[in-house]
Amino acid sequence: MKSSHTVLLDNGLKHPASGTRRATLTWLILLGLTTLSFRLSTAVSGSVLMFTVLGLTLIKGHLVTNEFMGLRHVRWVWRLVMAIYLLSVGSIIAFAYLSA
Amino acid sequence: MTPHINSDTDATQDLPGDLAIWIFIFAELVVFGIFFAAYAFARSTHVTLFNASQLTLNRDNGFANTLILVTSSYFVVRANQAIKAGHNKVCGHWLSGALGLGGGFLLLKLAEFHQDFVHGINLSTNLFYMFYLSLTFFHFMHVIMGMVILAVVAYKAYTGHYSAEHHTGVETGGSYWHMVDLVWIILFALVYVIH
Amino acid sequence: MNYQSQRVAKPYFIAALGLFVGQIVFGLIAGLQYLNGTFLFPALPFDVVHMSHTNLLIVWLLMAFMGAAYFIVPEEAQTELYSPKLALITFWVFLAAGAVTILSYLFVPYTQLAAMTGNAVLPTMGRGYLEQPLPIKVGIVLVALSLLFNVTMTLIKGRKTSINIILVGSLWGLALLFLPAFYFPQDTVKASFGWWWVVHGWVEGDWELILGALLGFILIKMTGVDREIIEKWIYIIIAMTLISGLVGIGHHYYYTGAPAYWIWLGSIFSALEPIPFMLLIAFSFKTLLQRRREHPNKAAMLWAMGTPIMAFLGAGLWGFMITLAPVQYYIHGTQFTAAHGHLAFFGAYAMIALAIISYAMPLLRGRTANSMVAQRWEMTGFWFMTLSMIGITLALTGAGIVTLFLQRAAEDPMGFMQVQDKARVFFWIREFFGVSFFTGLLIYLRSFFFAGEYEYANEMKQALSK
Ligand code: HEM
Ligand code: HEM
Ligand SMILES: [Fe+2]
Repeated sequence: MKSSHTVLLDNGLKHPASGTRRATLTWLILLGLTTLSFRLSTAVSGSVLMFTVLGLTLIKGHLVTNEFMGLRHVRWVWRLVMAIYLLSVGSIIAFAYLSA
Repeated sequence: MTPHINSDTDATQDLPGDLAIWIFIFAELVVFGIFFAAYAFARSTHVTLFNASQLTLNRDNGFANTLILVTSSYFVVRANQAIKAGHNKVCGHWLSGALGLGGGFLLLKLAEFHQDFVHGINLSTNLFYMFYLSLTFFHFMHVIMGMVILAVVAYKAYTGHYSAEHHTGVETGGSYWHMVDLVWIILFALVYVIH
Repeated sequence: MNYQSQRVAKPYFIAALGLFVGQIVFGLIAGLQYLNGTFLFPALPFDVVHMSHTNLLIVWLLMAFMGAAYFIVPEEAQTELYSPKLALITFWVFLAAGAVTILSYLFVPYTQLAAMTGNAVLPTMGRGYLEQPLPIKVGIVLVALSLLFNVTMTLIKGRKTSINIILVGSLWGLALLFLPAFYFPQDTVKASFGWWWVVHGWVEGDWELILGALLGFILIKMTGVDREIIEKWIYIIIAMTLISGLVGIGHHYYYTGAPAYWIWLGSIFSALEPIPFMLLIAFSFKTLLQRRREHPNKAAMLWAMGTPIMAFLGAGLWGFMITLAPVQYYIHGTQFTAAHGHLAFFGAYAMIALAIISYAMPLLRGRTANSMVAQRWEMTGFWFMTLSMIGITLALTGAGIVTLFLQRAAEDPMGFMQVQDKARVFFWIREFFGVSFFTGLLIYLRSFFFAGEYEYANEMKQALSK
């Protein structure tokens, strides 16, 4: 895992094809997760729905920021800031729903 | 491990694009974050109202729009990769594609707004609609803003302003567009799906 | 100073400072009337003093902004002002209009003034800050048009920098946002809308852009940091100002008869209004740290760096404390609001005006910077005024809290005048800091009366010998 990760990292430019493949994969996962959330909305409800969809959304957010916005290439502080943002929005929402 | 040849792939480098746009992006994320939190807390005191009103939303539309924005974001990534390989034209094409998808998003959203309008729904209808309308309209304005930026970047790409070495503009515009996508992903889950 | 026509800024700056003195004198009188209700009565009733205090504030700030525009626009456009003569005529017209307004407040009863000046034809008088008689309001519009014509023509024929475009654009905004002052319907809800469009539209919208442009200009000149970097920051600050401030106007619509959704929209968006002020602090200090030169005008730098901090405290922090609907419900219109009004107006707009004056006046007098003696006086004035304003703010905040507990949120609310009595100690403190503010102002003004220029060689020798 670690090594394939670095290969991708290091070869972003030298082998554009692998960067492209990675982006395409990310995109397909995002489409899949979106469809899953959408389907779930009629299949389940209540806090099960809330937690799963919120979880899926955080994963999607992580993919968009890390892969598309390219945060995985930058200094870790920025990834941390973004992670804190996503987690706090997620937990505020979860907290508000549970306190209803 | 091979030495880092290109700084674009160096895991200690700075944020892609202009630092200024990132400050703006984080400020915007805070704005939306506060808006989302307000929605969530307002809902917690009006659960039945929110659940009932949520059922009237056009969820298919929201779903389609999420797929559209995610795809447009992907196109922007491809545009970035194209310019890094020095292909100005290809970069322009991907950006045009993203712009087309952005236009599609606006059309679908307008259709939704039109439906609300026909049904006499407005900000005063109830608390849920107040949030639904103002949140999605606020985001709508951001899509327009993002499209303006992308259009400028696409124009510059077509006219050969960028190169494999100098393409901060593409990264800057792209980062903003991804933010618009990111915010919609949360909004879709919060307003259309979770109930 | 690179262009002769920039010289017209000088009378604007001098007049601004003169009117500033007037404003503070009226502030001190109003403060005394709080302590002794019959002080100067009936010659000078409180409402007249209050009106003179606030109108002088607006007029001197406008004077300073106009002077700044006449100073900056030619410099940035790299060309002479389109018509220096028109600028000078406009100055005298504006000064005369200001003087006539204050004198008429002082010597003609307000209702009579209204009757004399056609308020029955087109009612505009009576709302705070917009008390001027109709002909004066029309005059203000004409003065603004003359300024806009002059600076826009200059901009068109010269270099178009972002700073200049933002400055001229926001001056247009300032004029356009004054127009609702002519809209004063019978319906009190609509009348208050019109009022806030001017007042909120100015201080939490358009004037923030002016503030950004002036601060950007000063920092470009004084730090030597790349214009491009500074302009990017200014654009972001403007964007955040508009995103938060436009809808943020809803914080004046709560419980007024406006639609209820403003309670949410106003709270959410106005809660974000501190963000541009935070960005302003980040921007100025980042620029300061990256400076490529040490400008000899230390006093101007002090004003420029003090502005974002005090603006953040007054507008961002004190504004935030009173902006959420549930808080407004209790605290609307108490001394808490006056505390916020004082610190915000001083921190943001009085200070940026003094900053540009501090930067430009030496140049207008043919020096790069004032002598160190003069600068020391000026900086002493800075600290006196700034700290006194914090004192005034805290005193008024105290008075606001007294009202909150004894009246607004009390089980058994006390009468208005009884509460005023309980808060009396705070009014004494306010007056104390008012006097010290005035002292600071005099110290500041003293700094203008030292001859001579900043001398590098001399300062260097002294620094080394220490
Ligand atoms: C640059 C400095 C100052 C600024 C920017 C300023 C600004 C203002 C503003 C905006 C108001 C209207 C507040 C409102 O209606 O909520 C006001 C009122 C007032 N100011 Fe000042 N002021 C300054 C200095 C002073 C000083 C030095 C004093 C002296 C004690 C003073 C005393 C007063 C009083 C007594 C009022 C009337 C408050 C009321 O309506 O009850 N001000 N000032
Ligand atoms: C430099 C910028 C600002 C200035 C000069 C300023 C000045 C003022 C003044 C003079 C008033 C009193 C108006 C009156 O009733 O006579 C006022 C009211 C108010 N301001 Fe500001 N303000 C600024 C920024 C802000 C910000 C950023 C916020 C919110 C975060 C804010 C929130 C409020 C609120 C809620 C009121 C109404 C208080 C009430 O109804 O009693 N202000 N402001
Ligand atoms: Fe306001």
